[in-house]
Amino acid sequence: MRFWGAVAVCSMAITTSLAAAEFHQAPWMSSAKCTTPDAIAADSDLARLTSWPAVYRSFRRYKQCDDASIGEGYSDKIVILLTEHWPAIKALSGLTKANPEFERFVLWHVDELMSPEQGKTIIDNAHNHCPAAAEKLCQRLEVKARNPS
Amino acid sequence: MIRANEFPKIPKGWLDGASTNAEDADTASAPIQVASTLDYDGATKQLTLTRGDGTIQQFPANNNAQRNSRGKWEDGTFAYGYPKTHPDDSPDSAYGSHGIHVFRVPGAEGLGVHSGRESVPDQLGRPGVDHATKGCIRTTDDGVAAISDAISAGDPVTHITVRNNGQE
Repeated sequence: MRFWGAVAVCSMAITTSLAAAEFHQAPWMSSAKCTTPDAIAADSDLARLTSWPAVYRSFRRYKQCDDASIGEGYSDKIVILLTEHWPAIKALSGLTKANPEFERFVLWHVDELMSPEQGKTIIDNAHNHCPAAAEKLCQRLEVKARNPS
Repeated sequence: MIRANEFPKIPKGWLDGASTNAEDADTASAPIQVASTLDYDGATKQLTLTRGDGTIQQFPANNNAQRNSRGKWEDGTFAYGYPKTHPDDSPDSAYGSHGIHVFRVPGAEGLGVHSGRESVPDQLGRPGVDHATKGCIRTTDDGVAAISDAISAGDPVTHITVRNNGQE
């Protein structure tokens, strides 16, 4: 009896653990550090994210607000840069070498929100059009675009 | 001259507060609007806007949170925060044609109701309201427009109630 009780408790714990593990937020996100004015400013900043230096500045200032709609906006702008402005990958490569956490931020946002077409474009760009100085970054981008979950 | 501890005297014939006489009731003026409320039912995937005058509008909606996100919106009632629009808002943009209405959810920033991706699929091939989000409820452009209309009409949404939205 005691054995089956223990099994039941263990089973419940595993189920709860799996449910909790299904979703995971960006590790740099912190609701305690992201004030509402920060969140509004981060949202307003999204319209200016048309280059990698602009994305990097926003990451430095507002990464703690990378949540919900603001995170959706980052994903949108990052995928647009990787699909419609691929030659700028050299600038991204320089920034990610200087700040590895920024590379994780970019890879994080190559996610399920992008369209299948955008995913294919990133894979093609990373596989077939990668500048020599950005090979490792291209490999990681290709892996993430193939497995964006 | 200022006199402390003395209320002004009301002249005879002036009304002081509501009349108790039924014949004095104001039937000509429009009824006073109270605030609108928003309700999202995760089981029926419907967003219901109830205006202050009792008018009910329903819109399809979904809360398909992707894995690398905070997950689905928890059940409960949450106060309205603020609206936010963007220069590139359009039917297929990240937030739709009318931006986002953000609610005050403990531990979250930027969690709200928006539309967008009307004809753009996500990685699982889902366009429209079923397109994945990072926790926000996605509805139609009409749904967000109705919320914005309530606000501009002086009938603001005060809160959203999320129900039957258990994490699968």
